[in-house]
Amino acid sequence: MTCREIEQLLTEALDCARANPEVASHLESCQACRTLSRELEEIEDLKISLGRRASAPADLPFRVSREYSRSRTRRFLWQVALPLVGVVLVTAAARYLETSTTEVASPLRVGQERLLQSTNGREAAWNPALETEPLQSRQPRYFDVLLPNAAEGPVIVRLPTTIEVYRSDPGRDYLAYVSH
Amino acid sequence: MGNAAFIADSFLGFGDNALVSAYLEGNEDAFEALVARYQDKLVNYLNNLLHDYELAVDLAQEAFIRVYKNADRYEGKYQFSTWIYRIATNLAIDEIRRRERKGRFFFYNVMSFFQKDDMTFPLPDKRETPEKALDRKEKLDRLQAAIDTLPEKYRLAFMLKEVQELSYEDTSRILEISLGTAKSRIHRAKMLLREKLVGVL
Repeated sequence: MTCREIEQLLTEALDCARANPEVASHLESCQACRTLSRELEEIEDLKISLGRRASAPADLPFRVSREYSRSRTRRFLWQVALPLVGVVLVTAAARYLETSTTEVASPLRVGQERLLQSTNGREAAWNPALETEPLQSRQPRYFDVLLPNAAEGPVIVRLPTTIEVYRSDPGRDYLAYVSH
Repeated sequence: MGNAAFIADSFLGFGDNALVSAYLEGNEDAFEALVARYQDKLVNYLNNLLHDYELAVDLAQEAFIRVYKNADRYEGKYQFSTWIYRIATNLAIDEIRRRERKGRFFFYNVMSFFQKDDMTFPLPDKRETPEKALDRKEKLDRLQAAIDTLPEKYRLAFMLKEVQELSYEDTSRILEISLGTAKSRIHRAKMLLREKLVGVL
């Protein structure tokens, strides 16, 4: 056996190699390979300590479990809850538009009270006589929102730009504007 | 989840694959037993590669969470240890490359070679005299510093096969290289270490 072959065997599996009679015989007669064998043995001895230098914190299983629960909650929010909120919003908007007054495209007046003349309790007509401020320009009637992480793929939710809320005022013949 | 040590003991006779199967059938404790079985090994492995204990714990936690999320995809074709070490190795490689981009790893290597800090904890051997223990600690620090300066491909192969005491087959699967390449890298790593430790060994 050559020194090169001995070197290969010693680095692959030191104990097995040294148990090989051919290797043992070579080591007896070759100082360089004996030195290599001794140095590799010392590295083997030291490396065992390297593998035991640190221990995991005792609460690691708990931390893994807690973090996994959090990630599941986040995934639920993105994949289920958010699309669900979108669907609820769309449904609510659709229902609102169905039951709202004919003032859908009426001018927007932020922060001002405006009054709608009540006709039959459900529909109402705009009474310009009650208008006190100049009308502002018309707004787009809707805008689209893309929800990319819905469970069934991306969803586009169409929402009205203005949601007006009116409250009936018992004893008076108009609906009071609350907010939008 | 309950007491980790108690749960780990109650699953002592179970192989890793049996634990994964039990977890997939709804037994959460089986997963905790897997964590308890591998947590020290992974933290040690990552700590030896990164020299940042808190980061090693965080990355070990991340490796377990990835296993948690993808357990249903585990085919059992290779050992569970191969899978989790591969995840941990990839996380460590990402971190090492991130540091290299920032130049911190080089700085650490240079500093660690000169500093004799107290971050090492060699196993106490009651038969050793204080002088011998000190000598051993010194040698251990020099070995760690020498390993840190190995090229990444040799360092990872050496860590897995020699420090984590995995087989050549597992090492090759974790690093996704052939068996022959794994043997060659470990041989080269040992010869390089020997050169770097002239006068120490």
